[in-house]
Amino acid sequence: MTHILVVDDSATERRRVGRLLEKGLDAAIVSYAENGKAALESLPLKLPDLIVTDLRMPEMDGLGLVEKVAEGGFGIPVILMTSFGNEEIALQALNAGAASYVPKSVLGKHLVKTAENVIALSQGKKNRQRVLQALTEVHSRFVLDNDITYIPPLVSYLQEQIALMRILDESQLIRIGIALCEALTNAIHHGNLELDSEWRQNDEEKYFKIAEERRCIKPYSDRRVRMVATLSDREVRFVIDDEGPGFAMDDLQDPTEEFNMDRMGGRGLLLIRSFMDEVTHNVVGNSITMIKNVVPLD
Amino acid sequence: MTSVFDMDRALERVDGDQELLDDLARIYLNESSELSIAISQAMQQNDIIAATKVAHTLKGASSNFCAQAIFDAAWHFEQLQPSNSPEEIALAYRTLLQELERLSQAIRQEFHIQH
Repeated sequence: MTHILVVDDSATERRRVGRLLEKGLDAAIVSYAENGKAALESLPLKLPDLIVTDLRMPEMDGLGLVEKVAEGGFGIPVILMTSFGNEEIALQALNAGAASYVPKSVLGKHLVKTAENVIALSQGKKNRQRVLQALTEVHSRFVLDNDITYIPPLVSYLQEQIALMRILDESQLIRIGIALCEALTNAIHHGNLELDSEWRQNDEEKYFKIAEERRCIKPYSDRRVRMVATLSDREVRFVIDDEGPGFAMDDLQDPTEEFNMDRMGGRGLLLIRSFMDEVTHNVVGNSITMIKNVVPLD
Repeated sequence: MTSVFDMDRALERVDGDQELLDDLARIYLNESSELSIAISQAMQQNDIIAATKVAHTLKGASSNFCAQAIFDAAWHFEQLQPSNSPEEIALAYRTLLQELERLSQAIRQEFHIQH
């Protein structure tokens, strides 16, 4: 059964659109709302598979409805019914997340086909989500040069994978992202480029200038950072290796000491240790393993 | 085709579904009557903006019958602003009511619907 919510302030239009959908789609159940506000209020009662909405309506218009549906993370595709003079608001609604639109003058010819396409695409996405929830382990290997601008997109990619597997919640995703950013930055700056965090404490501009210079000169420029990410329903594990000379763990200032809390050096490690369940280094000091245990989500 | 609305195009709009069009005719007569009252109340309160919004809904509902005259009248009314002269507003209102009455009568006749 496909449940479709038709939203229009005109009873005549609601009937026309509802009938077109009931007749044209296999096993469609159509429910109705008079405006965006009423539509939104009905969502908690039963989530439709598709919303087909007019644009200009009292209380809350089609644009407002599209925005609220997107904000609410309902994942319900919305098709707009447009009419002459509503082009601008239709464009805004498409930008705000509407899936498609059909001019009211050709609903009879095109609404059903458009609805079929949008529902099929939406189902495809839902099925992909189901498959990913069944996925229990993923290993990924990455080799990075010493450009820190790679870090944010790489971290976003991994956060997205974790979110799709639904193994950690939103707040944990953010914390994992911060820990990863810190560990990768450490591997590039302090590992491969051998930058001293004290330089940053004293003169940040100079610190980044040296980083840029070293990226282009040997031996620094030949070094790579390698990361193995293992995402599973038991744990999320990241092993990050750099090719620098390493460092003695004992030499690291303890960032939890009151004196060191306002220093940049060690801050990254403090965040990593706070956000991950287990953090270990190899003897040489150029490899870090970070583990976050997975507690099944409800 | 009647002189007030285009039956062939109206059928085309519902993909040739005569039963649906019959249904729409009945629903439209009820709805247009309610919308007419809503416009009248807004006019009495001198709320032109509210009246134009109702006219927009009326235009959409009427478009199911491909009735050009009421579509034009509703569109014209929809463009009104509080700054328009009382004469212009009164004329647009009168025209809209006349066209609404003409379409309602034509629908009753064509679809054999009693008052």
